[in-house]
Amino acid sequence: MFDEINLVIKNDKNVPKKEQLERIRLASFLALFLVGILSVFVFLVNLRFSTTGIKNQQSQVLQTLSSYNDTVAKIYVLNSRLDDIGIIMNKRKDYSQDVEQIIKLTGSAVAIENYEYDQQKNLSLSISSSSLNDLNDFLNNLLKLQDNGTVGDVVMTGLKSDPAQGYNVSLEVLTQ
Amino acid sequence: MKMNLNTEISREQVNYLIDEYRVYLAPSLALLGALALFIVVLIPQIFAFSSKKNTADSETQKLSQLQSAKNLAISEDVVELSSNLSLATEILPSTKDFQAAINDISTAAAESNVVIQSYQLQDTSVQTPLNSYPSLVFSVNIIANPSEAMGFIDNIYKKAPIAEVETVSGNDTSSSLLIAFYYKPFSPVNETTTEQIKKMNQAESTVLSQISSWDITTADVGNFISSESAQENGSPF
Repeated sequence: MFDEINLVIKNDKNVPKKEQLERIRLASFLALFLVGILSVFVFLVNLRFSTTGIKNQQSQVLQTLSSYNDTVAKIYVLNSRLDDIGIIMNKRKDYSQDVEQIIKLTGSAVAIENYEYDQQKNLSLSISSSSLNDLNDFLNNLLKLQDNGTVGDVVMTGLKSDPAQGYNVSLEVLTQ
Repeated sequence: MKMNLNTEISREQVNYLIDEYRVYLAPSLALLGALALFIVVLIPQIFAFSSKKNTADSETQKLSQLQSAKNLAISEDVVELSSNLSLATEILPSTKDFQAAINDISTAAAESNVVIQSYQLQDTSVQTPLNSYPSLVFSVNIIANPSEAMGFIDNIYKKAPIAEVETVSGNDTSSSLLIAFYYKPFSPVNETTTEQIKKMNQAESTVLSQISSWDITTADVGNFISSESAQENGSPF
């Protein structure tokens, strides 16, 4: 009976329920607020990264460029041709740097009997002279070219002496 | 009767529960809705920021390239461009040009004071670092000592079509050469290539000035384009 009429005790029982309700209300309010703020943030970021405007500008530029199609094609082809020509010029064998230098060393006293420059950039050379001194000079000058890096390895593969034709030297020169 | 009693009790309980917890319904639904919105909508959007930024950056870059291309196309001297293109395509033609190659050989021989003994088209390709470029290969025999043969090579290196002497051999009176004349079919020009056009860089300018010094007579580019268009892969225009 006491319990039924004591209103204070009844109110005490309702206090946790009200607090709980307040907490849930606060949590839901905060959650909605945060989601709202995040949605605005996402919207602004999406607006910032939107490509619609850029694509419109691209279309306008492409439209302008369409009246210069011929010029654009010529510029593109010219640049790519020049790139290709540059590659070929840089990679093709350059005889003036090494083979021509070696041949110039022979002068008038040393004759080239045979020569062969293969795809591996090896120069096989057979030279002759009536004078060993001239051959010696040629070889010394060739070794100078090797020292300054114009040519690579120089290998003497043969030396012959013939009373009628003089001296003959066979060489293998690896060019760079 | 027992069943009815239970039903009555359940209804009462349900009604009581509804009355008791009605106030929780709205905030709970709002909380769940916010959570669902966050998980289903916002998180995927946030994770997509990176890819959206990349897309926007690439589109901006594409726009910038297109604007540069437009400015370049507008400011380009068309006459000079046509002349340079004509020279470049003479030097590196798009198709096999037998006549130009033979002219090349005979002109270089005349300029080097050597006599052509014979020449023959080789049907086998040569293995070179430049294998990515198709070539016409000629075997040429000339009456020339090694020095004269080097002069011949110097001359043929400054002719169109561009050539490379693969091998050379001989003796004091004659030389044999294997000469590759390069060509390259045109790549088609489309929207992607439009973005790629740019002002001539330093290397390209150097190449252009080098080939301009070779004193090569060029055909009019307009005629060149129209005649090449008739051939397969002959022209990108």
